[in-house]
Amino acid sequence: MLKIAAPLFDRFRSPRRAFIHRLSIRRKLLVGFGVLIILTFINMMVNVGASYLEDQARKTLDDSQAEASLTADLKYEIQRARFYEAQSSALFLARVEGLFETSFDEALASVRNALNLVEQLKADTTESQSGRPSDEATTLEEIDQRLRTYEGIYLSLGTDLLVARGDENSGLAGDLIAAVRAINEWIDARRALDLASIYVATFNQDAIMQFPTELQQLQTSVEDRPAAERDEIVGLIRTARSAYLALLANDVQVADQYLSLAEVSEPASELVGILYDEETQERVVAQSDFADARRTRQRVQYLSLVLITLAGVGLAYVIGGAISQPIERLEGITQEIAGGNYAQRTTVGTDDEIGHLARSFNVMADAIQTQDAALREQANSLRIATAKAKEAARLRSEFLSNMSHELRTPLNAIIGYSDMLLAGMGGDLNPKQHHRVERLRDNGKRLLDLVDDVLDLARIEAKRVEIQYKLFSPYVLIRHVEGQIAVLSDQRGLDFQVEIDPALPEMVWGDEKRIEQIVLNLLSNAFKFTESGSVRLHAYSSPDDQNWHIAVADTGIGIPPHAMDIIFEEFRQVDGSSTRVYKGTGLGLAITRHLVHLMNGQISVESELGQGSTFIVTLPLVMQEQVLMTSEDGKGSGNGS
Amino acid sequence: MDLNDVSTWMVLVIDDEPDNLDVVADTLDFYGVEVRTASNGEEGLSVLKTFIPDFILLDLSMPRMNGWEMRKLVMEDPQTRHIPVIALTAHAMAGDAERALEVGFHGYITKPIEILSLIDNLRAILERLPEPKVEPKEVEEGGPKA
Repeated sequence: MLKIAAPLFDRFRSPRRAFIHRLSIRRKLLVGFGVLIILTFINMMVNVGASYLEDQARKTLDDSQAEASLTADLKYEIQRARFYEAQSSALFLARVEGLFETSFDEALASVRNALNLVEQLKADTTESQSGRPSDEATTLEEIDQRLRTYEGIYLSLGTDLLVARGDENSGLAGDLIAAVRAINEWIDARRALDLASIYVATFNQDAIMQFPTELQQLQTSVEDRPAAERDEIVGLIRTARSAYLALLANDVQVADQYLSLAEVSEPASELVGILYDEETQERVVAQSDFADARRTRQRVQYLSLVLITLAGVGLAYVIGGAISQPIERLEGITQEIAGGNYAQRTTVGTDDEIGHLARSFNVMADAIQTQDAALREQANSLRIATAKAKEAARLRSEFLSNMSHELRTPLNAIIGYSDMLLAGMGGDLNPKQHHRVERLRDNGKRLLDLVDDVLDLARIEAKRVEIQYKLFSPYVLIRHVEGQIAVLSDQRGLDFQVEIDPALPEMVWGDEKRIEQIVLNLLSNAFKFTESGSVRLHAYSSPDDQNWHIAVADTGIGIPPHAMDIIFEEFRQVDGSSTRVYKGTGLGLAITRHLVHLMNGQISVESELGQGSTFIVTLPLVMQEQVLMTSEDGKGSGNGS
Repeated sequence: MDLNDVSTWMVLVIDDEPDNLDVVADTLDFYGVEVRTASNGEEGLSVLKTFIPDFILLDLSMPRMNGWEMRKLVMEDPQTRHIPVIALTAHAMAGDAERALEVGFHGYITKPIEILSLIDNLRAILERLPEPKVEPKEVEEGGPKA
């Protein structure tokens, strides 16, 4: 997803890119985390704000609920007070003593409760709406006033009027009953007493209306009584009348008060009803406000969570990209260079650690390229030198080959023609001519041998002689050499003995031709330097021995001690005085020694001047298994070399 | 051709050295062999168009067409395929003799030629011809020794 959006990001990022690439990795991370922390902080503040608003709304709701509840209570109390007001009024008129008291107290209690509630509501209202008085406060104030009036009426009713009235034995009512009783002691006033009792107890209208008439009749009835007695009774009747009037006045006042109670309580009840409606309305509004605040807070929380997450991912992408992109580019270049493309340079140009690394990397790449170029040049010149050396070796080998051919060709002609003349192909020769052609041919052959030896030596020294290891029979080799040398021994008239030790293995490993060449060289030397006596060839070995030996002993002139070390050197004999007497190139022993060494062997000589010489060649007796093993490695030429 | 009667032999000798060619040709001629000569492979091939010898004595290193190439062409021609080819090799080139036998020469004579034993040597080679492989040491027998 981010990959698809990457070009978009790049476009957005391009102006900021330079900035972010100028920072070190540590600062990049600091910037990233810093931005994230600031965003988180802002998010926290927004959340706190939303929560605060929600709390406020909740508080308003709680308040309005509390007020509504208080108002509801108030409404209830007022209704209750009115109910008991009505009840107590009825009970008062009915003179149901005990129940009236209770009813009166309940009504008063309700009024007091209502006053308390109003007090609370007023406190709440002033709390929530400080200072300016609202409609609600005004209403409350009015309710309060009315309730206080109501309470006042109740109190005066209870304390003054009702207490003043009293019952049959006390108060105004008691006064009335007592006054009538006083009359009854003088004259029969039972009827008046009954009427008074009924009035006091029941507020019976007839009794109330008939009582004054009854008193009038009583007064009339005492007209004819003695004056003193009459005056006394009339006085008593007057007292009863005034008691009656006082009681009646008090009762009228009670009735009036009850009426004014209703007058006060009704509008109060109406006001409370209005207040209740208002509070209910307020509560509904507060409820919906609270729901709104709560939704807003939830949305803010959700949105900020999403925004923070997006910001985190975005920052991680931008900063991670700013870190990883140059590394990836550097890595790509590293692989290119590892692949041998040393001319590659990284273009990472940031100012951070990776940029420094890239610059160091480029410096390193420069060094590598330079070194690589130097190495290539060196390798090239080495290749050229090797090729030159090979070419030189090839030219040398070619030269040797050509020399051999070119030298041999005229000699072949010389020897060939000499042979033809000696064979009589050009007619018969006289003895002198025959002798001279013979000398011609012999010298030609000597020259040919000389050429062969020189070329042989040159080839050995140029290391162009390879030893070819094969399994062969030393017995066959010795017999073969014996056959070849027999003519020579016959010519020289010397005794030639050949001895082969039975302990010598049937088959040995070695270069048969080269060994034959060695033996022939030694034998021809022996014959050359021996005038009389014998030449002895002895091949031997012993069971414990790692080598086998070929000894050639003669009874010839021997070698002087001072010459023992130099006889194996090239051209020695050619340089010496013996050259004149003994024909030969003087290269035979040098070649022999070289060949023996090539086969990891040794050659030694023992000699006594005038008594003869013994040359001993020692060659390693390579066991069949060993050679087979080394043969398996590839070339059969390995003989411990 | 009768191996025992030298006068019935017909031989083509090819060598670029006139003296060497002369020595071989004259020696064979002296013994009564019918000899034709050529100084290189090309010449040799043109001689073969009119003259089918009993065998060919062929020098290996020659200008224009050397012995190796000529032998190949001789073997490819049905007219000349049956003719034995004997190499004339210089002793110095030690590898040449073995290599010649390996590629299919029927035998070899080492230079310098041993005049007196030339006929015997050739006869020895020709006698062994039916056998495919000739032991080099046997052929060399009687040759010059160092």
